[in-house]
Amino acid sequence: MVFEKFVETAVKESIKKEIFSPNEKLIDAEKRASAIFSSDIAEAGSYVEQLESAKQSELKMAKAYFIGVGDIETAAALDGTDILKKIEALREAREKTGGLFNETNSNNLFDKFIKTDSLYMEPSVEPDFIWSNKLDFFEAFEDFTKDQYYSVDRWSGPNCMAYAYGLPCNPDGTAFECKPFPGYFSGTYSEEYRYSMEYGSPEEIKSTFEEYMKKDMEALGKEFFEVSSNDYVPKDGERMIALVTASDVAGLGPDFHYYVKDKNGFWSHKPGVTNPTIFDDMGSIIKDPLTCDRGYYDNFVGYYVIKEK
Amino acid sequence: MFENEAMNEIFEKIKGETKQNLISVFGKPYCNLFSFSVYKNTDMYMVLLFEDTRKENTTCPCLKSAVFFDESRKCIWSGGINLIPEYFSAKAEEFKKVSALIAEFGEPHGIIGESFSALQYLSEDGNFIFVKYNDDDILDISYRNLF
Repeated sequence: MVFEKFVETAVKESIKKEIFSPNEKLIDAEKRASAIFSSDIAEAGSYVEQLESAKQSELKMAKAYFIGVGDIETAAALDGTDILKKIEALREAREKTGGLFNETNSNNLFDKFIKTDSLYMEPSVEPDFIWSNKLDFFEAFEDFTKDQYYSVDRWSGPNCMAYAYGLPCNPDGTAFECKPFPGYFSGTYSEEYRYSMEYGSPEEIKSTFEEYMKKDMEALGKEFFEVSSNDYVPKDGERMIALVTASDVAGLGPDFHYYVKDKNGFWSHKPGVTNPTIFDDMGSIIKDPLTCDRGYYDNFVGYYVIKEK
Repeated sequence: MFENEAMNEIFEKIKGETKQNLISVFGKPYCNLFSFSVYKNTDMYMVLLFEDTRKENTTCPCLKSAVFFDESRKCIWSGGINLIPEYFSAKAEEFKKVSALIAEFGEPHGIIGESFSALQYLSEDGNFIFVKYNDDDILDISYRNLF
């Protein structure tokens, strides 16, 4: 029981106080478990199990930390199978980072915001193919970042809607005179869509936007149809998009936003006149715009597919 | 005792880190406001500003600036950002043009919006300032105190 208590204390302390300091207590506990093992296999078995659990928690936190500070090599080393080697790698890496995020450093304000809970989260690492330059998103990226398509003050230029429609500029090759809005391509400017986003029901917003999208598509010689889920796989010549709206964005009022499904099955978007991105508001890759972090844009309108007529 | 120099050194180490990686260390922000992420603990606020940074053929939000406020909204430390002075609100009404405002207070910390646009600033007294504009005309200036 004394040893159990020791393990429990070691775990609690490592979580609360020694998250990023060498975990000598756990190493010591392992030695003690080993000593017990030589005399009482049954008793040692339960201790070893607890130790493993304690170490896994510690390692998980450490892995999150090293990915957090960009030390992927060390994080990968922690994935090994030999527990002692892992602890050694952990110790070396901690020395290497010079005590960053060490809570004994009272000058480190960042340290006061490290959430113990969050360190249990398994950090997500993008699959390698996300950085491939053979995807449609990356092909489009160059087009949508050319300075010639933006006014000097960035008041006008391709926005999320232009990106969704696959148009970095007007169909005649000239730069946009403002940021495109529903009805822009058909020349039917109206405050109706803005009013619907602010005061309308989700159904009213949907019907209003669909009306203007239809006019725009006709003007562009395209057509669109709604699809029921993220599972739809666009065929050749099809472009799958998703529309969301917000009734009150801080400093702006009502606003809309579009996402585009890329060939790899993930989504990208272009917030305003900033560059296209594959990340959501939480900095995560977007598997589904319905469930990703969209910030203020809390009304999901639907998935649509655009194609040539 | 808190020292500026030590904090500057620490900030330089994590500057440029991706938003995703920082979230894995700090957890989910108390709130996200476009390029800004706000964290709070019992007696302090941490505001992180991310800037889209080119990485291969895409961009991802990477840490550009960080600001710490105490519970009375006094700025304790800031790095990588020029905060808007407190007198902004008293002077803001004088500005009718975006160009004049930028000449006085500098480039915005962010630009937001799909239909309308707004410049986004963070002030010394912990207010987010939104300057809604149309071309060079300022339409509205609003404040949001997230604390």
